[in-house]
Amino acid sequence: MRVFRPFLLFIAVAAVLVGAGTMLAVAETPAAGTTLASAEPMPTASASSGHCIMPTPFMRRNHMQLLMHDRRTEVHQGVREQGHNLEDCMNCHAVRDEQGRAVPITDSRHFCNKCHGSAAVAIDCFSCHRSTPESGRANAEASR
Amino acid sequence: MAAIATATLVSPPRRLQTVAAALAMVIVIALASALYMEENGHWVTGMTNYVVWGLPHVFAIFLIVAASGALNVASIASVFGRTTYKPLAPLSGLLAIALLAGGLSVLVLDLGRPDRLLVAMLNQNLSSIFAWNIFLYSGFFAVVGVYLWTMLAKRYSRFTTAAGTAAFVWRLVLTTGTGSIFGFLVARDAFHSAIMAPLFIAMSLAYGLAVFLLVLVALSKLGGPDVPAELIGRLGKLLGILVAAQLYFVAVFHLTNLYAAKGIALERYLLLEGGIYPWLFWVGQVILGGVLPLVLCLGRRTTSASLLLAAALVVLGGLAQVYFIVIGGQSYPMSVLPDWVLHSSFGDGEISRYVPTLPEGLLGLGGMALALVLVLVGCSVLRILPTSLEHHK
Amino acid sequence: MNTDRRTFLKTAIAAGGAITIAPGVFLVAEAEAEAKPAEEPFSPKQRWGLLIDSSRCRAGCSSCVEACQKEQGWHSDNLGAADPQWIRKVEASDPRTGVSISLPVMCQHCAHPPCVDVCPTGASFRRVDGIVQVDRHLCIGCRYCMMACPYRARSFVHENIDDQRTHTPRGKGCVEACNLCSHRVDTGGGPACAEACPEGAMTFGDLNDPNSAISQALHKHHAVQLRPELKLDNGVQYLGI
Repeated sequence: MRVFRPFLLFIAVAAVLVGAGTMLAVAETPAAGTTLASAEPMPTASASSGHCIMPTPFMRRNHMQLLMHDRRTEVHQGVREQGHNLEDCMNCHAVRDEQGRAVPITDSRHFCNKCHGSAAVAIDCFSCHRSTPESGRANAEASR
Repeated sequence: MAAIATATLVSPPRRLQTVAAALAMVIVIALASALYMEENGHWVTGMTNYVVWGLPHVFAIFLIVAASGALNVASIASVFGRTTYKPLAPLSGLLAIALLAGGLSVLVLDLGRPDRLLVAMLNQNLSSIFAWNIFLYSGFFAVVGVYLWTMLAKRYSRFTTAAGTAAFVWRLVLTTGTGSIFGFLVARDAFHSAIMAPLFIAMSLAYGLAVFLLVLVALSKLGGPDVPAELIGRLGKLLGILVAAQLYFVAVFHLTNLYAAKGIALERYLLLEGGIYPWLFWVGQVILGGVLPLVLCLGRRTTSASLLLAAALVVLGGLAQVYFIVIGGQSYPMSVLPDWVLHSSFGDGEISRYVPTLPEGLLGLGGMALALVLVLVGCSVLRILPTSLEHHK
Repeated sequence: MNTDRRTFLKTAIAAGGAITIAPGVFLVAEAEAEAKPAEEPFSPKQRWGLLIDSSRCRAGCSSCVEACQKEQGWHSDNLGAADPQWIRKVEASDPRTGVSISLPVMCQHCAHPPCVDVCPTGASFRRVDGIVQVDRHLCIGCRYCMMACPYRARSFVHENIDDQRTHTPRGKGCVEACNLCSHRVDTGGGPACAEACPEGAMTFGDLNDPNSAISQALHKHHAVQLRPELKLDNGVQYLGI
């Protein structure tokens, strides 16, 4: 066992290095540029109706359950309920940059990052879902 | 019988550390490769939409199949009551667990979304052979773990035979499951065959014993007990018989295809005209991994060196064989309109090319290194190895 | 809503059925099927299918492929065999007779899909209305479905993606395929490929509705399924092969 100790140490160091590397690489959510105090998500001017499908306090606590429930009914049962899909969330809550383009999830100003950045809760939605309104697509392409 | 004296591995100074450090290095490189693949996407590998499983799967399947076979020696001791092999049974169990862990790590790290492993644990489609295998693999760890426990904790030794029998049955079912991953694929003629399950069992018996022999001898250089030539001789003879059994199933599989008119084009591709694949079959699998070990193991004059060479050849031939089965089978054109000549922008009617890249190869090697490190760790912290093998002739 | 709309659609179905002119020639009735209200689940009474008349499909034409790319947002990234392809044009010739045909091939929406059987997590699933699709929330990227599919209809996303269509989430590490434009079907429409075909060679509709144009056509002509020996009961069927 005594002979074995340096080996264990090596494994431990290797594991720590690999772990740190993984965390650096996997941290796709950019660090929040905002402090906790300013991290209150506010619906932006682009919200046409001016209010969310539910009151803000409810949404803050429960948006994930709504999304989880609706993803099941939409993908598996074909229920396409107006206002209840991620598309509508993104349309209303888009944050525009100086040029008026909706910022993607890789930008710390994105609506979801305001809380998720400081709460350090990684979201997996945008590894597949579009994080901006599709009208922003033309803008993005024009700027290339 | 008298209790077997066992001990943890105490190696000559520096030797164990050097080996372990080298293996750990390979593992670190493999993890970096996996990270690179996940960050960029699988286009940095040779895998495509046409050949969807590549080199990582070759290594993973080899290791998983060998894991089941590594239990041979323990089974002979506990199930078939050959006390000669009893001192080696714990190493046999440990090696089985280590090889399975190595293989599964490679498989998981190659997933498109390895971060969703929990999803796979929580959502199971019970008609999927893959889902059955998740159950069979976890169960294998548990069953062999308990078996190992009964061997190491002397007061539970009366349960060894029962646990050993359970492990024996479990590993046969497990390898049936692994073979059926391919055997149940109705769409592809190169795979769809009931013989895949017994073929994989025969493969597992040969690969597992070969790996066991090599590991046992390697451990003796790292402070483990000396391995008597007579023991190597006996295990070598068994290896020869298992290699023969494996060749038999291979022959039946190809003859069945050759007998039917519809199978001739496939066999012509696999055995004659398919570029690298006929070479892998005839030179890699049949000559190096089959005929040569047969001659070395079952010939009149055998030495320890020639038997160890045979074991190494079985491992090499085994890798060639799994590559041939998994990738050769996928490269053969699967036609949506059989008998028509097809052209499309998606490679219809064409042989699918696969050129492995470095990262996927390194990931696969990492699985092997992980298995060996686990064996070293196990032998170092548990009393796996007997102090001597001479007394138990 | 919807009684008015339904009545209208039913009339459309009847009209669509009526304008079948000659064997192999019938007009596409795009919104022929009884559409469900968008906010209700789809019905197990329906089985969506596609009938493709290869005798009217022109070699070299790829309107359906382009329409699919535009609608679903997939495209080539110059990765060769690693590029996604939800639908492809296959040019086939019979070496014994010299006959050659052209046909689009995509997910065949089998009633007994091998991809669904083998998927370990249930990410590959068949909706009760017959559409086979991938729930990307459950897909772990093992690619076993791609090994199992007899039509090579599925693609694995090999690269990072950031220009998805809103209604078609796509992402690296998951498997994807034709879903008959389920987002359009759920709101009363049909797949983009069928709509785009300049020859009207693709008919979308409800296989379970005897009055639908697709059922009527299947009643009159002998349609074939690709790889019929597998007995997968495909939702996509072909004329003229």
